[in-house]
Amino acid sequence: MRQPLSIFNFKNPKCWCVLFFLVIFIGDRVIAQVLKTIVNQSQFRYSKLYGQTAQSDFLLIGNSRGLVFHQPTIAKLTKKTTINLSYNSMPVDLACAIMKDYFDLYPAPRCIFFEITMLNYNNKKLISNFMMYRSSANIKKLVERNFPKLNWWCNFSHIYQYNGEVLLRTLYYMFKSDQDWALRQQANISQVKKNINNMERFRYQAKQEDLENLRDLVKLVKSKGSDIKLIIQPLFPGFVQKIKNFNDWKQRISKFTGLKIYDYSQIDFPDHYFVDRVHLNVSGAKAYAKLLYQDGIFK
Amino acid sequence: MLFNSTIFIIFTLIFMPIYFHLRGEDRRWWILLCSYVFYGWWDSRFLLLIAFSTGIDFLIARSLYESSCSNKRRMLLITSICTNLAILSFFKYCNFFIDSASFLMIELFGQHTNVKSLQIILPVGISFYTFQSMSYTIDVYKKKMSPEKNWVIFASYIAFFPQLVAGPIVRAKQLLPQFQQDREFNWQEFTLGFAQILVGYFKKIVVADSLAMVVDQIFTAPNSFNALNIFLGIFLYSFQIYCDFSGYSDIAIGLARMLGFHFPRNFNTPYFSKNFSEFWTRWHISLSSWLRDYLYIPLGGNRYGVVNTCKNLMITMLLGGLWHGANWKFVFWGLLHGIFLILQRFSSPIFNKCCEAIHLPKILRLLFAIFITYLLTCVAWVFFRSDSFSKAINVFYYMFTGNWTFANLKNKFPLVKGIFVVFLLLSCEIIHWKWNFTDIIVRRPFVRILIFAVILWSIALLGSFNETTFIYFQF
Repeated sequence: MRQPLSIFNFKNPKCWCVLFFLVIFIGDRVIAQVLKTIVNQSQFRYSKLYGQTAQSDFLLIGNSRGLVFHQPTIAKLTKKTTINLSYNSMPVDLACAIMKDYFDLYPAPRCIFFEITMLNYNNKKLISNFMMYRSSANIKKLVERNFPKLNWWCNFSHIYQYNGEVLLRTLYYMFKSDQDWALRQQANISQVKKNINNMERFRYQAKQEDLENLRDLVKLVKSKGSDIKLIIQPLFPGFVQKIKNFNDWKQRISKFTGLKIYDYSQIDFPDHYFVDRVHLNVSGAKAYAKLLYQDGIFK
Repeated sequence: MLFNSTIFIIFTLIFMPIYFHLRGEDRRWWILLCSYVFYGWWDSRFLLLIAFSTGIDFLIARSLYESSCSNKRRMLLITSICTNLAILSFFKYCNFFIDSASFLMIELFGQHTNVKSLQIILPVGISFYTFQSMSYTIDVYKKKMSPEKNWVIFASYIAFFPQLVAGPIVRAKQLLPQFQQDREFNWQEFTLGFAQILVGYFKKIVVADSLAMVVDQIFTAPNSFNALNIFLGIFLYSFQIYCDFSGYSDIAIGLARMLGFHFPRNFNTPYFSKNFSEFWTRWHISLSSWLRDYLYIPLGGNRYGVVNTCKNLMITMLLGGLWHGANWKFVFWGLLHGIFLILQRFSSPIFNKCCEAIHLPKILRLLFAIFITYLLTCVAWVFFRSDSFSKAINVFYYMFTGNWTFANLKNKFPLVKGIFVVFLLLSCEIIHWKWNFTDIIVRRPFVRILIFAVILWSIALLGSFNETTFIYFQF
């Protein structure tokens, strides 16, 4: 009697289930590896950072306001290599982890420019989007602490690490630099003014945990012989008056870190430099970079 | 307990093996127990309500069957309908009636009333199981079926967890006989059910929940977005609600199929409808057929002239709108659909004549009809989604007065992802329509593995895992 060539019968439910789980598992690992290769090839700032092609003299960091540091203008004026590592809604602990990673991977930069309004807007959710850079011990630690369940799932499915907006940005900047990014939309100035006038006065926050993270970063930077400057970028005229504790908030950060704060929040910029109450547009960003240069901030 | 939660996966993993191990009455008790655990997970107090509703209809249906006096039978039916509607009205519409009456008093007579809204929690899925229960007594009254003798079977039919909270509304005639016999384990049915569950999860986690993040922001504050954003928000919402609800239905139908039950289809590519009559035979089929059989046809249907047909259509659509929620926006949504259905009756012959006059090819005619139907459906969705009538008007206002520049577009990356997943969904639906996946899944076990794997990998890569509730739970 002839023996069947294959002992594996797909029509047998047990065999089918074994093969099914095997395909799922192997496919998951293979696809994740492909995605990892793609991410590492991208020109996106964090891919460059972890791909070790981001060595710079100046590092710029912050949340969406930090993104307004116009890297091309700064690099052109200072003739120094510069990289902006800011991200929308970046929390302080993530920013500090990224800075620490930089020091682990590269020689110390000349100076870090830290946009401190991120201390007021603290959204930990973004950390989960950085799962794809979990090869960094600092980021991994943050994820484990803030999202233990997510961390477990990412160990289970490696594809899942790449789930999020950061992957889309990585793909978008596959072949082009993200460093000339700036807000290019037009603002409805009267609407911005109206919104500010209608706003209730409020308080700026600075969590103890974030202040401690920042202080640790300052210590690290100093120990490596680098410099760090805390900056507040221009805000729409009249907005600062809505913040009840603006000066106290600045003093608290300054006292905690032992650093001077370069406050440009109330600089006399025309209204058309803004897209909303807290963000500069491309013209404003360029003018702001020039102003920082003229003031000798980059020396 | 949400279908897209970890606890539900654990629940299913415990339920399934025991379900297939048990036989006869034990199995029925197990289904009932687990269905009550599933439902009680939200709020155990709701269990009393569902048990009460079940008990009333079980007893009334038995009495209906035993009684031959037509007056008594009519009274029993009225009692059943009134009890069900009273429960539904109290829990779902009480505050709506109070608020509307107060508003009218102020607007018409300038008098403020002291009546305050009550603190009532809306029991999940009340509209679904009430309608299911009502259809049973009506069918028994009309002698379309005999009543169920076994309370456990009837209670399991009402509370069967796959379709308890958001349908499909399965008629007693279809489902009760399936409970009466033990459903045998069938590997083919099991895998087909699993396939449908995966499709449901894809629709919910990848499409609906990803779109929700963009859509919610736009509908909450349309004034913060430009016209292009709002336009895309409306477009994406139409797919969010479709995938949210049809995703739930797919999971429910798939789960039932794995257990050996057959539920009717609830969605059939509704956005490919060429008119509104067709749309309502493809969208939430179990509700629209319920409304047709138990409301539209008893009202007279299209039998007594044009005026009566229009009146019946309008009543059906208005009540259909109100079924969705205690808010005037839902009534207005129903009204719009009623108007579209009536207009369609008059405009279809004119449209056909115009197309013939200009010799428009059939395919273009079809595409144009599909486009117009979809566009008007989207207009109605704006009222359905907005928090209030005025906010819906605002959405249109900012869309028509705002600028359409790409540079001012906000949330570009989530929007791109949203459009991509919609494209993916439509492509899959077209491919499925052309080459039925069911055949492939049954005939080719290895291709089945690949299809399942691709869906699971897509969910892992593109899904939004916030364990968000299903939109239709609120109804």
